[in-house]
Amino acid sequence: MFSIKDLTIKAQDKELIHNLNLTINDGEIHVLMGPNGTGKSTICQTIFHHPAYEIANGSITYHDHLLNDLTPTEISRLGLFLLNQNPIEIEGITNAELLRNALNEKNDTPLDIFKFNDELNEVCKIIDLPKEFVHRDINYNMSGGEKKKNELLHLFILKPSFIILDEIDSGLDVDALKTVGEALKKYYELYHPSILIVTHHNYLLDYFSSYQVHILKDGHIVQSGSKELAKQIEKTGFEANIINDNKKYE
Amino acid sequence: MTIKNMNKLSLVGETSNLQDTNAFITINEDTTLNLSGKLTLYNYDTHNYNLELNLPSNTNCYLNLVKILTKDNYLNLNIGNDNNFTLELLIINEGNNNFHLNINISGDNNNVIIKARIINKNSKSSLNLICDGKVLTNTKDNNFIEDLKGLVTNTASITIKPNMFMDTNEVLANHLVTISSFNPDELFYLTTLGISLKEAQKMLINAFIYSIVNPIFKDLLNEEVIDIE
Ligand SMILES: Nc1ncnc2c1ncn2[C@@H]1O[C@H](COP(=O)(O)OP(=O)(O)OP(=O)(O)O)[C@@H](O)[C@H]1O
Ligand SMILES: [Mg+2]
Repeated sequence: MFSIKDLTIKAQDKELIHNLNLTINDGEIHVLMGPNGTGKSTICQTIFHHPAYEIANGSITYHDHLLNDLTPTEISRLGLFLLNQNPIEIEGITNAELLRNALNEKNDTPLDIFKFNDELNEVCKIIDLPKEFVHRDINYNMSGGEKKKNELLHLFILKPSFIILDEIDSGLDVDALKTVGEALKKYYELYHPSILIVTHHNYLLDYFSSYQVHILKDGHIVQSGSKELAKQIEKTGFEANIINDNKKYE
Repeated sequence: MTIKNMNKLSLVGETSNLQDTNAFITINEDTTLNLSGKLTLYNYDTHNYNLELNLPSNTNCYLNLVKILTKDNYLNLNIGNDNNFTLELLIINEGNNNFHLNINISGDNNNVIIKARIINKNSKSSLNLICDGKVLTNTKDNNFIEDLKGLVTNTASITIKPNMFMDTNEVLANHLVTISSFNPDELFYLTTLGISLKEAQKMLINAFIYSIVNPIFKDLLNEEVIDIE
């Protein structure tokens, strides 16, 4: 189980998230939606302890490990994976080198380089990325869509059990959306991870049969629901839905 | 390609003339090189000899120079007319040292690119790079680019003093100097993928080094361990 309790996040002394609560059981898919600038990426980065954000209150736990005091390395090794909204480029380090080092450090047994190469080729086919990308520098000079697929390459090789996808669908063309949707579905069927999907659209969600939706506004979750909520939001926007919902309580 | 199957050239004597050469050169004392034609040169310098390069005219030269710096020394570059010269220099510094890079452009129509990457071997080291670029009076159509970067990996210090003396307006000069530590976003990214902080820093040091150094130097550089603190 992954759980966020009473989480307050600050950056530069400004409170960005206030009293956030979220529980995701193993194998569940949760979707986080919300207007621009409400703190969705902030939450994703804070789970991994990005130095820009401070946990002012509350706790984040995964499988009984308190993440608050762990380093990004330790958090990753518990099985968490973050796919960034804007993946950074690192010139001079190739995907292959990155993944080889990550696996070598994590595992006690040395990496079987033949198996590793075969697997890389296999994954490239699944995500429709030319094999040469394995030897390209991390996201360097890649197009927006290629970067997202490149990050999926990392995901498939590292095999996390808890995945955070921060707008993986932004910047993808129709064919790429289809490839990414199918790849994620395949990954889900193979490994049954928990997934937190941050998105503004329903397209990728349609690849999954069930999921829960949460709407983030003013630093906390204002509404939770199922599939229909995500559909409704995409159709009529946040304002209409949240206001309607408030009226229910009046 | 490795150094083993590279054309090797040992320079003995104070002055040598090099023409149309593609070689890994070794130098064993203070040396003046007169260059002409088309040259691609690699040099790995652990002895810190002073070097003077003369390009009187019509020379097209690329020099990839790795210096394991353990004492003060200099590189003088004298450029005449109609030359293309690119220096890609890596300095791995050990101890408190000054390195002087003097570039004199006395003629017309040259393209000169100086790229340097600097790193200290350990926290007890400090390096002062003084880069004097002079373009003399009455010269024209010169293009002069300096791109100097230091990566601070520990408590050691790096200073870079780029001085450009332009006695003419007819020159296109550009200089870029940055001294920085590891990029926190890059460290964050690598560690979120399960790489330890130490290993992430090592990877970024390698990326920095090989952004300027040809892979043929790999075997030689593997022995240079850089302390991270
Ligand atoms: N390091 C920071 N320092 C100060 N303010 C920040 C920092 N990071 C984010 N913010 C602010 O916090 C708010 C939330 O930003 P965040 O990127 O989390 O939004 P988001 O919900 O992901 O939006 P989008 O849908 O546009 O991706 C914004 O107002 C942003 O300007
Ligand atoms: Mg965002």
